[in-house]
Amino acid sequence: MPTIAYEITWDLGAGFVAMPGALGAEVELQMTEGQTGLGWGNAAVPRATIRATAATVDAAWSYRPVKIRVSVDGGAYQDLFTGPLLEQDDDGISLRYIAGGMDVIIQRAPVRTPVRRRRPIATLTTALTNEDPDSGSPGWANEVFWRAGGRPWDQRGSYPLSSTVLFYYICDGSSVAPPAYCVDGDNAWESLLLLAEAGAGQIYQGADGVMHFVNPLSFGESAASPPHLTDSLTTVPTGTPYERLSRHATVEGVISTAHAPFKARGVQVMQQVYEDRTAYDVLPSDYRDFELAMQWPIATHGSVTVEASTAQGVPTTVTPSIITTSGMRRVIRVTNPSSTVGLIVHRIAAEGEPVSVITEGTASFTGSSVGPFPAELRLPSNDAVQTYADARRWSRMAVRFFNTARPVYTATDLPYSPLLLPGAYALLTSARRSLSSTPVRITRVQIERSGAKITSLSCVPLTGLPRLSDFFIIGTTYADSDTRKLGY
Amino acid sequence: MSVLSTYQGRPEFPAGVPLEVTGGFDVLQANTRAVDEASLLGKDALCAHAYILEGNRENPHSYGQWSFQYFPGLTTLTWAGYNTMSASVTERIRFKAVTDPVSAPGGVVLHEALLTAGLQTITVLSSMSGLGWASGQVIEIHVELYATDGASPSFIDDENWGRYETIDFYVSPLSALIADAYPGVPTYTTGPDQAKLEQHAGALDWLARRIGLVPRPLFQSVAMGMTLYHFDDYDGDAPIDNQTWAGGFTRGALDRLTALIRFQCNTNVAEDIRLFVNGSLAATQSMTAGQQGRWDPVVNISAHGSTTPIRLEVRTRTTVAGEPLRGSRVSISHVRLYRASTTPSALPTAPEPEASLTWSTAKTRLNSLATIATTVYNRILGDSETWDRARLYRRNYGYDEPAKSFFETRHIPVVWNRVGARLVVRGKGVRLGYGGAVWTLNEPKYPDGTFNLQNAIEENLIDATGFQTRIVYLGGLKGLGLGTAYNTRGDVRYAAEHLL
Repeated sequence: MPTIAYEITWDLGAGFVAMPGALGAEVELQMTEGQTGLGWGNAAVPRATIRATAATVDAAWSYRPVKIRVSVDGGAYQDLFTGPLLEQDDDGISLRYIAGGMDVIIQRAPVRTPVRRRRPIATLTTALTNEDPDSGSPGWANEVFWRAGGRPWDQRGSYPLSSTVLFYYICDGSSVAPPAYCVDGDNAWESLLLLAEAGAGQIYQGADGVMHFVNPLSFGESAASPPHLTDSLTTVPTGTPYERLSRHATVEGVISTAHAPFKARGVQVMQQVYEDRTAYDVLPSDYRDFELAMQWPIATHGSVTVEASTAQGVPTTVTPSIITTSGMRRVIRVTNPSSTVGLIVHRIAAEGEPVSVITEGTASFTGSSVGPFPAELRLPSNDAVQTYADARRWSRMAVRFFNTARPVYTATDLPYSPLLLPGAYALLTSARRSLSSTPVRITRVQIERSGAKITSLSCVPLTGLPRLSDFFIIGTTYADSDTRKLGY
Repeated sequence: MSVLSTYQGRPEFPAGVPLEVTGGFDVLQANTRAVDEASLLGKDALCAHAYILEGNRENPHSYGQWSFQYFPGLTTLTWAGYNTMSASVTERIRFKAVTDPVSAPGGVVLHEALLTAGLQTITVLSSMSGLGWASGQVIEIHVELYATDGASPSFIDDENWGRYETIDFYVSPLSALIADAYPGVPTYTTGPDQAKLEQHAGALDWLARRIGLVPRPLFQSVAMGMTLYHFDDYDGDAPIDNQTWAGGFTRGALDRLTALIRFQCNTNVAEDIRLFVNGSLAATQSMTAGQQGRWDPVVNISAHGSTTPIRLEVRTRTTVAGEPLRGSRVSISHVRLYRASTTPSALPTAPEPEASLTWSTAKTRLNSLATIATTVYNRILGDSETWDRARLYRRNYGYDEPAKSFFETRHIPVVWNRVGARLVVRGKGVRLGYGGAVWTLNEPKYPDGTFNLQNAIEENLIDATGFQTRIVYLGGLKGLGLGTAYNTRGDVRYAAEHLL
């Protein structure tokens, strides 16, 4: 067994420093849903339990970021976990902290955007892309990350962590670009998962706390020097040996046909999109804010009309000020100009160009039969799937991804390796199961409190899964004779 | 006419993802086909009116009510007409803009001019700025004639009873409504370059937006219109000519004219339907007593370089003076201009999803699509009469209630075969009907020409409480596929399809 050393630090506002009295940690990293870990819209988020002496009590512990790093056999420390502290248990003798992933930070951020046209679900982040949604054209997932306090990992030099820069993110590109879409949610995490579902992608958090939007075609891609899980160091001398390898297979989730719904959107002409005839009073020299929630996303907002009268019944012209505007709502402020007489607002109306559903339908694709019964998947309705083409590609990809039964292999009692993280590409060898360097994707890792070993690790074979390298990739140079697929 | 492919929206080509077939290459291919086919499509002749001069004898006298959708950038409103008025009276033509038919139905006078006999072209407006019109607003243009000498309410007297035809009426330039320049198309070389794909998609999107700017006002068809209005006076010594429909065209690059006419001859003698182009008889269809049929003449109009009047007449022949005759029925579905050659460009082979091919093949196909886009661009630029002018919508006939009632019960205001993606419609109590049409004569035993129409599918587009403007995305109406006939009814003040 290797020798493991932990470094547990936290940031109380002046950078990461050692957590006093920290005794050890237990970390679990896994995909949130799905048997195979390949599901769209899935997320991999970590949870960590940290034990410390009572001396570690700090009144300002909540949401403080904590970082757990590991050194194997005296080597350099490597990230194992980064995330905010969420719970604290103090029994008078020791402390127990529970830390979560960045999803906890993200889910507390409301994100409301304007309607944007043909914006991809996600765009590839680089050191040069303008990720600021107010000045650039980042993808939807990029924008939600940004507005929830994230900044691109490739540009971290320009955005040091602070009270406003809370985490970093990396996005793959997505082919899906809804013609007219907006995000309007109090929970940015849910918005992200819906976007990931529409883009057939996944969200996961790396050990360094960096959030990833992953294109599913990258699941099957090989990686340089991947970790190798093996039943025998004789077979793979550089591998990570496990004690036992169990296998679980199910018919659940294996499909032959996928149905993908879509709802096409169209922009209507300028018209009244909001009206409220409730009476509201505004005290003298006071103001009142009104949130105008729209029935449909508004592509272009028009004028807002406020009809009011004084408390004595004299009609009064009121010009509201616009506080905020997003696709689904406007917040206006009505100020009573009089210091002596109350104001009664009796009608508020707003104009705009609504984005309405103009048609809807379902695209279907059928692949190979998987058993004696029709095995169908009805993909959920998703507001970001707005064209027949996207639905058609969605259904075809679903069949290609889920037409093959993929067993879940669970290895137990492995020596700890910082390379064994959810989402990582690895190889699996088992003489008993006739597996020899089979490509797998790790979907769950449970690390023992001592840190010396991984108690349990699940992975899924990737054989036959479509890969990015099978296709002509935009931005890549090819020779005339190079043969690839154009895509789905 | 071919049935158009629909434009599928501009695809995005983010870096680091497959070029894609579904949603990628095939959208470029579908969009190329859509703009190619759309740019080959003809247009309808301008619909002036049915019969000789609608309405009754008043001063001023309605010369038709028209409308268009205003957008900033449009500057010029042009009218062209053809008149056979007598030189013995002085008549003026007046153009009024009505922006609010409820609070200000009288409108505002935009321009007036002396009416002259023969062909006449008037620039009604050379600037539309400062008129207070909002982008997208539907502007009604009411055209009136009035006599200045004596202001007699019966100035259109027998000596002046003749042809008063609007043969072109349009706003321009549509090209000013696109702020961005045509980006051109790329040449693919060493891979699916993101900038080139975006440029290519942008070029097709520009073409679609440019084509989509041109409104196609729905046609004021004549449904079961009666001929024979003057048989009372017939003395049996000459044929009777009944003008049935009039209009005009400026053909641009289009070189053929056709019409779709259905007839039912109810007289006890033979009749002829006669199509005149620029005053010359261009085609004739004989009707024998009791005959029902369809006539779709094709006329070569390539010799007509300028704005040209056209009209349809029904000539009745009988030698029995005073014989009581019954009017025949003539339905006119469209009068349309088109190209003699409308063969679309040959598209490259469409790839199947997940099919493998070499980059050389993929590149050749992409470059082929780009070449077609250039052809479409040049085709549009080379025909400003078709692509740079927005013809006005001809409101249903009649301008006072009795006249409207008369025409609306004998004419379907608008019957149209869908070619476009969206319909812009303004009005009040507007319904759209399609599918299984049932026509019911109001007086089956002694038909008076009035009827009711009920379609299998009826959509309420605008309720009767007030005037509204709506965009109807026609693809959202189940069963209303491209080429399907539909009609609009109610107080329709504007109705025009846009191809893309």
